[in-house]
Amino acid sequence: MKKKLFIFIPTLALWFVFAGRVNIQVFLLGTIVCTIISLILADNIFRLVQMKYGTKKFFIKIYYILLVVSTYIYDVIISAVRVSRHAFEIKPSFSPRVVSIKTTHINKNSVAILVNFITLTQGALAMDFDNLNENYYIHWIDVHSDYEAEIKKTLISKHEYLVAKIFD
Amino acid sequence: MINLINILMQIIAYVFLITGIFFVLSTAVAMIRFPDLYTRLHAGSKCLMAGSISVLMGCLVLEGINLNSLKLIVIIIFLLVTNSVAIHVIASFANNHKIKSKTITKNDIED
Repeated sequence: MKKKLFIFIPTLALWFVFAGRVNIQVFLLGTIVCTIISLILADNIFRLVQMKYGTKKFFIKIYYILLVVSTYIYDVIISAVRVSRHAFEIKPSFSPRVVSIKTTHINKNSVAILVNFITLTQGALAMDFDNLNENYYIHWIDVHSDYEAEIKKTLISKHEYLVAKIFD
Repeated sequence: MINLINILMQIIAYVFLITGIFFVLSTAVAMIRFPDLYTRLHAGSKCLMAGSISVLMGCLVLEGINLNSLKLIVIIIFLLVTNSVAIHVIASFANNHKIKSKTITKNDIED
C-alpha cells in the first residue's frame, strides 16, 4: 500500500502540473489514471530501492544527483558539437572502436544508471554489459589511437566515481 | 533598466533557440550521412538531446517563471532519462543480434 501511495502522489502532482489547473474534473480523471499507473508499476519501481540512508545523507545524495545531471548536460553539449562537426565534414573523419571497460561498481543500480547514461558522455555509446566479467562494451565514435582510448577510459571512470557517490 | 533586462533575456533565448536548431539540423544531416547504425545512434542521442535541451531552454527563458516553465523543466528531465535509455536499448539489441558496424577499426568483443 505504501509503495502504491509513493507512486500515486507524485504522478497526481505531475498530472496537475501538466493540466495547468486544479478542478474536480482534472482531479477525478487524474485519480483514475494515477491509480491505474500505481497499481501497474508499484512493484517494479521499488524492486531495487534500498532505504539504508539517514536524512543527512539523503540531502548529500541530492547534491550529488544535481552534480551528475549537470555533468551529463555539459558532456552532452560538448559531444553534440563534436558529432555535428563530423556530420558537416566533407569526408567524415571518425574512427569508431568498441572498447571494453571493467567496472568498479558493485551495486546493480549504479551499473544500470551508468550503462544508460554513458550514451550522453563524449562520443561514447554503451552497447552491452557483461555480467560475468563485469565489463561495459562501449562504442566510441572518435578514437584514433590506444592512448586516446586510455584518456577516454579515464573520463568514464570520473563518471563512475560520481554515480558511485549516489548509490554506494 | 527593465527594458534592458528584457532585451538581454530575449538575446539569451534566441541564442539557445538558434543553437538548438543547429543541433537538430545536424542530427538530420548525420542520420543521412553516417554509414551505419551505431554512428547514427551517436547522432540520435547526443545531437538530438543537445538540440532539444537548447530549444526547451530557450523557451524556458522566453517564458519566465510560471507554470509553463515548470512543465518545460519536467519535459527536459523526462527527455534526459528516456532518450539515453532508449538509445542504449537500441544499441544493446543491435549488438545482441550481431549487427556489424561498417567502419569499425577495433572490436574488443570479438578479440
